[in-house]
Amino acid sequence: MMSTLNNFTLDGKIALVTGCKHGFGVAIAIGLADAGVDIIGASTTFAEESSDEHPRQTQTRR
Amino acid sequence: MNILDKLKLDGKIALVTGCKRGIGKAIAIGLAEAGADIIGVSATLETEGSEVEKEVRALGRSFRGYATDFSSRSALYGFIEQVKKDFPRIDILFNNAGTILRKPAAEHPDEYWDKVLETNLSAQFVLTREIGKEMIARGYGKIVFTASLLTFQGGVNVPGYAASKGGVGQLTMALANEWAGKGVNVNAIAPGYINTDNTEALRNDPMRSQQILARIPAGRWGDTEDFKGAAVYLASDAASYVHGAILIVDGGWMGR
Repeated sequence: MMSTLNNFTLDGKIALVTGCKHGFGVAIAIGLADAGVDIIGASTTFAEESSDEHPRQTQTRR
Repeated sequence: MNILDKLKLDGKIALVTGCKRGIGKAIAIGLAEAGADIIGVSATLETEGSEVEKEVRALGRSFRGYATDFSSRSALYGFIEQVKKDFPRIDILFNNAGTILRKPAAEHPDEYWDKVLETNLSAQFVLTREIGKEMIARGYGKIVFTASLLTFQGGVNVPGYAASKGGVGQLTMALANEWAGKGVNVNAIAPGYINTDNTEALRNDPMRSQQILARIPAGRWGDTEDFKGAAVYLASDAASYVHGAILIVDGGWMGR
């Protein structure tokens, strides 16, 4: 396999992305997920649209 | 497009200067691992059968080698004419060729100053102008310079090297300002203290070696392998909005 490109794959990693509801943070979370990461997303306004039991956090898996 | 696909360099042709040893060799191999075909040049490169050629070919990529001493302006122009004839399209230019000559400033001779400035700065500009104008005409190109910690700091006993690498940093930004809107990315990588021929004198001096190591937060000198990822990133479309940046790869030295 091509080792340098493999260094960019993040399979099996878990990332906490804060401020991930809008703009920048969305792109970062999706970019990391593209590279193989499972994402924990946090945003001050996430709870309003989320059924997640945590008030200000939601957890999503790719 | 998946972000990992944007890092792929399949079908791209990369010219890597100073590719015989050290950081340049690792960068050439790293770009080849990402899919690029390689044109290599250095002052003493074997035009056939070099180590870097063998490693690039083992990855299934093509390699073409040239020997040119960038301290000679006429040799540089000869190389430019030849490589443009042989390769009408160059997608990636990695300006890594460089030299270092050590002597205290008060005794630093004209010959040292002139050779280092010519090789590390003037030749870089001439080559980049000549390859870059073709990239502008096509609306696509990636140019990466090898800067240095001495782009930001003065160093000791290497006034010409420090001046040249400071110039490389300014040149990176100057070219980015003019070419960012034309589809050409110009950026630089600034290596810290790396295990290469250029730093052999430092590593052989126990006191200097210890002083340097003590300031590196990562707790080790860098290896040439540490540059492959940064090189591939800046040479790729994953970095298409990155212009005029100097990416420091130094184990944390500059933040200390």
